Amino acid sequence: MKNLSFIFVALAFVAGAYLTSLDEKTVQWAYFIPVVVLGFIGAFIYKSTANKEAKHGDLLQNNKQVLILSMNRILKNLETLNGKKENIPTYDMRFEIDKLFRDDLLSFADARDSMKHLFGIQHFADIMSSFAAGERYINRVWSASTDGYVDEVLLYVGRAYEQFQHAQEEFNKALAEHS
Amino acid sequence: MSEQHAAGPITRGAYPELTPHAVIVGYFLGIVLAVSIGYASLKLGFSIEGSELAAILGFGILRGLLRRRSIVENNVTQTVASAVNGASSGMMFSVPAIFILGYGTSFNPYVLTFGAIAGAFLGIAFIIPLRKQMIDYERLTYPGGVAVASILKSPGAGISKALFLMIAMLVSGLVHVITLYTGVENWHLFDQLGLPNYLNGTWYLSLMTVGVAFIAGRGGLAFIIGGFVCYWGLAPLLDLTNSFPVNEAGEQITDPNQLRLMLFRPTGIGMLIGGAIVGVMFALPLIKSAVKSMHSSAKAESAMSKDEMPIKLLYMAVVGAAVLLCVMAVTSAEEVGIVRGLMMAVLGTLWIWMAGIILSEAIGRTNWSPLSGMTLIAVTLLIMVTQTFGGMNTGPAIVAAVTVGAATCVAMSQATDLMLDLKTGYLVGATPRQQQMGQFIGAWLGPIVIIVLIFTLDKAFGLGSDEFPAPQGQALASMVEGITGGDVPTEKYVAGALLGGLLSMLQAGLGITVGLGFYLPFNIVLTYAVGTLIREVVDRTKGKSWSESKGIPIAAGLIVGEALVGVGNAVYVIMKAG
Repeated sequence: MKNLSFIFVALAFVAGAYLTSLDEKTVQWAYFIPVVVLGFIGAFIYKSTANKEAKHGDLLQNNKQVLILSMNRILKNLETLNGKKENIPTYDMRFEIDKLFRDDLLSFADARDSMKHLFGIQHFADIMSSFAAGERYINRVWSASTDGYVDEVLLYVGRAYEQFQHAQEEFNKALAEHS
Repeated sequence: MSEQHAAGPITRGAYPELTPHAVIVGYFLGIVLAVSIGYASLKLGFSIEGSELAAILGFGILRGLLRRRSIVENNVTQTVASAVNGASSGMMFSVPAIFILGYGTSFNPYVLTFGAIAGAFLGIAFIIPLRKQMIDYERLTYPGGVAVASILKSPGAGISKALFLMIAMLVSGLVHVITLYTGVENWHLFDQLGLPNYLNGTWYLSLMTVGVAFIAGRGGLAFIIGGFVCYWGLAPLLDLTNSFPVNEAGEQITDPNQLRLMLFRPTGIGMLIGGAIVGVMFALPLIKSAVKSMHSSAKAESAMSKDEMPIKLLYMAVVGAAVLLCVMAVTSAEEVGIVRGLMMAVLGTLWIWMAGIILSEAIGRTNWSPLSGMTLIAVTLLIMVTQTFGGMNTGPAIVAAVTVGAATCVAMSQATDLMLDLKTGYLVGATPRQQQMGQFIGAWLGPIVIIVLIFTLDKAFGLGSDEFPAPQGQALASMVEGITGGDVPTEKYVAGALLGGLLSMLQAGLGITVGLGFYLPFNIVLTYAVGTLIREVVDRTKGKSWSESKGIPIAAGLIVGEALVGVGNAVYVIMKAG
């Protein structure tokens, strides 16, 4: 049904675009309006089918696991890094970051849209706000490490850890509300 | 406080970010860029986004000459410089039109400059709450922003990545030199194959376009679809049904560029607007959540809230700039009056917000900004306001509409520039508040520099002359003449808006990106498709991590190499022409 309605919308779009291309200024509304109305009906069916699928599909459950696992790994790695940060040479910190976090940050970000269906928009916004700030702090550690600013590196490893702790709190709160 | 370490000096203390060095170098570079890009724009008819150049030049000055070492400070310099330069694209498209139309002595340059500054602040203030939605939540790509981040990060990215970037820069620059030297900028493949003209199989020979598409990845797919629908879908259908438009001699028009301007572009502009309206409707809950999230983190006084400009300050900036826009509209021409001025200010403010979203989405997904189309719509709407309540005379109506239009154009230009810089900032770990402050610090200067440049060149050579043809201004002037003569393809805009809305119902941003494919020349789309295809193949064969770690530095090099040669060539052409 979803694919069918998608094809229907695509055809309505092409037909509508063709009707607008027949003249430099005018549009044949008598044909155009029914075509576009049918397109909007198709789009409505597509949207509602897609929403239903997104709420009940395997993808959602898989993404939920990805979100939980990647968030846990990021936090665990940050905790470890924060504990031994004084012992890591400043210029090496960026290599630790690339090694420890890049894949999990990417996985979480790739799966993030499922949170809208799992927890609702406001929870999504709260979690992503904290996650994005945490990721930005990690990026800052990387930059400061490149430039050799040791205090900044130490400070922002701690801040990133706190930020991801907050992100996980938000995530767990949303998870508890919707379990 | 520095001590030598095996890998380099270790520095204690705060990491330099929004420093006097960053601002002063930013001002210097911003003025140089605004004057040179503004000058080139009047001479050659193109204007470029200044972030890449500002980042590289800032890199050279801060690291090379001043021996400073801070990626985020470099990022603020780039933000300040490109904020100053934002006025060059914003004003060079609009203001010369007043001179070309013969009203150069009928407008108040102080009001226009004042309004452009108000517009710049309005554009920045509006876009700040959208940062969360577009960068933090939607994670739009902003290929240009990613390229700049690759440059800023190159000192620490390792020798191999820096080498990839440099080699790609050289190759791309060399290819661009060859295309410029030989004058062969396009490869007319389909002509050589004997295929019909309307199919438009001409490839733009630009490695920068390939690089942009590689970074955008699948985000740019809809843009390609839009172009292919026009020239490989609709054009053959028009041929089959014998429906091509005809010229005065009764011959069918099959030239792809004429088809684009006559048939596809107006629909594309409508699609951008319709796509944005539906997109905003769907994104409204998320935008509200972003603002709510900013409010709640401000109340909790978390570290995250200190990274953002206070939301109340932004509300004040929006209201204050809108009031200034109103003052400007009322004083732009005697006949405007309070009611029309108020209507122009409200319309201008709303349009800045809407167009800011359209442009940020477009540049975020594809790196192409339909700024000219958005300015055209702004001027059209403003002229419509001047024709209400009995209607103003043509001259004052044009002066008022283009004056307020210039302010909206600067605002839109600032909004996209800031978004691009904020994306770079996200990737290098900059603090958004510092960058936003940098943008405000830089934005007021550009309109002053540009208005002085415009008046100087007009006095010396005359804008619209052979010496300074100001092609963008001429395009707007002819459009304005068309609008005042009642020649507006309103029906195509409306139909396009419905089609754009239909697509955006399926997926956020779809209407805007497909509309951009209708709007831009197809030779760009074709080459862009190559970059998208390469990214897809590389992702599947070498893996996404290879694309991220090696592919993106290469693509960034391709963008920067061509941009540098392009600007160098503009300077060469201008100097040669005297």
